[in-house]
Amino acid sequence: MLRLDFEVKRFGAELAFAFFLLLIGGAAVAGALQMNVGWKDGGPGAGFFPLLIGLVLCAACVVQILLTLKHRRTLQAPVFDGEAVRNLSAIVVPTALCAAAIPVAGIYLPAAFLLAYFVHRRTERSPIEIAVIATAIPAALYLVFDVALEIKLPGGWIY
Amino acid sequence: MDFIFDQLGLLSGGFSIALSGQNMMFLLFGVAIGILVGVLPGLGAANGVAILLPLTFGLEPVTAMIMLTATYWGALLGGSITSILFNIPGEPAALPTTFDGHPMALQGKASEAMALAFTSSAVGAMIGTLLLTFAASSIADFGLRFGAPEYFAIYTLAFASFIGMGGPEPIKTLIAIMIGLGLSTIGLDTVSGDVRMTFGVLDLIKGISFMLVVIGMIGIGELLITMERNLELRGVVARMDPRVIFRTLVTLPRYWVALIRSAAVGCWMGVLPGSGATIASMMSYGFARRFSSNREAFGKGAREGVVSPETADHAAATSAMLPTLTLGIPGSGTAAVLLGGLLMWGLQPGPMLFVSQPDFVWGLIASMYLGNVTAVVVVLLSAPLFAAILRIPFAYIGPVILVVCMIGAFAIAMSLFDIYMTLLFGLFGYLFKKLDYPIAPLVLALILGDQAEESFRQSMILSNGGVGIFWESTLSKILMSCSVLVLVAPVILKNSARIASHLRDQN
Repeated sequence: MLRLDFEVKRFGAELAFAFFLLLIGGAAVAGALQMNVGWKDGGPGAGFFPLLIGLVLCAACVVQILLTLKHRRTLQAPVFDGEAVRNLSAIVVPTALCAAAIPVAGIYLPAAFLLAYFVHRRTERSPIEIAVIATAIPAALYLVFDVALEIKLPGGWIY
Repeated sequence: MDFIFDQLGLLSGGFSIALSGQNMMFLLFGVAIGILVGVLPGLGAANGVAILLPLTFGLEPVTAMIMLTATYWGALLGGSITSILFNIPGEPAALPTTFDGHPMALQGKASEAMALAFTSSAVGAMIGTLLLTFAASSIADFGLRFGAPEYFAIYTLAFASFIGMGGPEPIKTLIAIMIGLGLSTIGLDTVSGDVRMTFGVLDLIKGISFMLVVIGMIGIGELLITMERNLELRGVVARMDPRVIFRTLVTLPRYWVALIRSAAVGCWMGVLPGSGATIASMMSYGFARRFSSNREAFGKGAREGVVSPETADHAAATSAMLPTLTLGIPGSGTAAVLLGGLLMWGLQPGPMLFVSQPDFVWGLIASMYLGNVTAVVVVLLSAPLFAAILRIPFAYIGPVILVVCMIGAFAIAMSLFDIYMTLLFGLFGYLFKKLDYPIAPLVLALILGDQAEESFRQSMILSNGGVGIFWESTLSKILMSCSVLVLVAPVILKNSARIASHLRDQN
């Protein structure tokens, strides 16, 4: 198994996330400036409100960055570590692959693989039990959504 | 007296709607799903409602709302089961229930602790719903006087309440609100018809549904946190003994002071936007301990320590529906999701709802009485069964919830792009949770964003660009002053000791 021995302290994580949000604020300002930010046809233009929001967001992020720097010494506890990242990627990566497969394979087949993967990884079920679970749950979802609620989900290769 | 009879007349009309076979069936289904999501740590009322919401498109709005609110009540009760038996709050608001509920369970009184929690919840819920029944029409009538500046002022008050009272880091709340408002501006501008903030992504022209954010940030985000911890639960095994339930019911009036005090705290916190059930239950537990003659027993299995937070929790949850329905300002995170649902069904929450859709409003209020009573009966009968669900490995439950979230996201607009957006919001929600950024204000801002912008722009047109319009009418003056007060008061209170010593030094 991949060994990930590291930890990210709260200070670093807080700072990085605040900078990321500042970037979003900057993008909001840039997006708003492409619109009319002044007075148009007797009212504020379409860009005025987004500009205001973007500017307040940027200002709040700057304050958050300054507060993080100010409280640096109290923000030394680890917030992410190797195990958490490993656990998280074991969920996120298969889920992302499942989502990426939906346009071609529909929703039920990737869902079956996703279930099989989780049950295999987190329990000690036999391959037959895993196959039964991975087939039964998507079949139940099909009955609930496609049949009972008439929400036509992408079937992909199945139908 | 006439007023009371009028309200009772409207309520009895509501009961005739809520008691229909179909509505009662969906109410029961909502309660069961609610208890299930409430029991599961990491999933709460908001998640349950968010996941179910896209699946209610085919239902009548009143039926859908009855089911979703029943999910809310069920989830609150389910959270208490996990708190008492497993010492983990199934719902954030059920945290103080762990303090005395779990010690009671360890002493072999799990059945009594759960019966106390559920019956006092029912008392809290009934008081909150009574408040809604008798205050809703008056507040809605009052709301009819609102113009655009008053509406903008009340939205400002809602946002200010979240910042001032939302938690220890107000800047993070402000950031969350701004992101929510920013997301609400993406897509077609309904006033000018311009496409804005899409950065050339065609799928963004339709805007970002609040549902994608809710399913992603609350549903998937919480799930990632739970699965990251590889949660394995070991709890106290309990069964519900009818004799214990009866004995608990008989002794409940003994705690009338705690019940009334907690219901009052709950109602107040529920009505105020930005506070909600979690603060109410924590505050109520604090009061119970502070005013108890037997303070030492708290934390070791004090009955009042279970009664107080549970009463406040449910009073807050039910009374949060008061500003949601009458003014369109949600009193809690879950109420914000419910408000979004109303908008999705084409119903405009606010005073006009009482005029244009009285059947819907009163059917819903009547269902709150039925829903809470049903939820308590169901949970009393089935608590051990739901507790057994916690012993199913999360390896089964987690991916099923993930798939249901993806299906829910797809069902909103039959768009694959929405699934990817939801997963992205899931990661964003995970980071928010990890770094203590609040999600509820973001959702609230996203839901209210369009209306806040519209009322702002209308006000600007009325005043020809002068912001002084928000300080013109008495009502908007009061609302804006309250906004400033809720923003400033916590800062003053926090620094009051320092200010006092500074003043003393100057004298």
